[in-house]
Amino acid sequence: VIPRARLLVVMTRPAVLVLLGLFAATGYAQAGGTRQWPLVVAVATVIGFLLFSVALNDLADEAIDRVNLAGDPSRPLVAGTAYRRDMATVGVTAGVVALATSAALGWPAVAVTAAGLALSAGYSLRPVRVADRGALASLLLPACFAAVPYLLGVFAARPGVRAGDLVVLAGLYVGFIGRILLKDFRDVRGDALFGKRTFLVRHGRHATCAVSACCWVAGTILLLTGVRPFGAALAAGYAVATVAAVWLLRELARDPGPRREERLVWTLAIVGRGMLVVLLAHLAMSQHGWPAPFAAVMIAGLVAVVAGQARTMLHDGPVTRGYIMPASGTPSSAGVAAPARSRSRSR
Amino acid sequence: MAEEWNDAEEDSMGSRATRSPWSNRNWWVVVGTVLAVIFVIFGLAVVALPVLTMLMTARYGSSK
Repeated sequence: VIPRARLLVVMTRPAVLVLLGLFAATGYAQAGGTRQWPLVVAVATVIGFLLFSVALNDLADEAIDRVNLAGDPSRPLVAGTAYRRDMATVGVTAGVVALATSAALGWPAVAVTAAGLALSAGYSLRPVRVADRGALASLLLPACFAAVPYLLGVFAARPGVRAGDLVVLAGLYVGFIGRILLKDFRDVRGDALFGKRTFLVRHGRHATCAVSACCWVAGTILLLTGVRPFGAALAAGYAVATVAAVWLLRELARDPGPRREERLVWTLAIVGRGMLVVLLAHLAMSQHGWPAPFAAVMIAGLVAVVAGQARTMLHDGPVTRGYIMPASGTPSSAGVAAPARSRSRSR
Repeated sequence: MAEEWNDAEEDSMGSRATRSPWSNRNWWVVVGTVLAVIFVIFGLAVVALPVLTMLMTARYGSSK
């Protein structure tokens, strides 16, 4: 039982689950949801959707992952902690669970979940296999990652979607396109080897960073246009984060070497997730009638926290996991094996 | 030889690379935790939870 439970935890990719949960919570807050149970149901649906997507993607990309992510414990097939049959079972079960839980939120949520599952399958599986189709993949993946959980959050609060909800969704979607383009830096070697024509493989580093920066800025503008009520503190925080993101992208475009490149991408992801948390906090505080100055202080604090996290990642890198054993197979003379370079990653 | 390799790896990663995300030398952990507690006190656990999760996962590399 424990290995099975561990497999599920690994497959949910905690960082990705946090991200999708944030999209769902943001949709719920944007739609004015106040009760907690509908949001829990929406997040349960999101978990099922995520497990389905991860299982399919891992099954379809096993050969590529063996090149890009050899030995990575977050890839059960590559790490040897699961069989293909296990992944298929998890995927099918998770898809069914996602559809079943979405039924509790009404038929619009079922429709969104079904469409999301279909898009996710089309992303990974042949003959459609959008993952190999460059820009189209970068447009479809954010739809799965941002739109599905966000709309589930909205439908958890009320049965319909309003124009303002869609403007915020457009901002989240466009901003996430800018971020998803960057994940291909990690995989560029295997992608090129297996003919996976990602945007980065097709157009190169400079174009990818330039498009990412444009999406980041456009997403921020759209979000600030659609969010109601508008908040000066939110706008200031977003301005700081967007300037930081553009600076990081400029550094990334300069080909800084593989290790710093990795840190830059991870730092950009921290900034992106932080912007989502700040947006959620703004919506929730507005909804609960917090005084504007107090809310502004909280947002400033969150921006400072995200800045601190980003700086730590950029300068110190990630925490390490795992150990390097000496050639003899015993720990080093100090009695403790030194930590290995981190390969903790999530897709 | 493995020891030398490990030393070189530690040097290149920086001595703080092995530190826990909850280390008190990461000031943002303290500030973030205080903010999360305030959110909980004022009934916004839905914000506190992502803030705490963000603190816990910030030191693990993820491209998303």
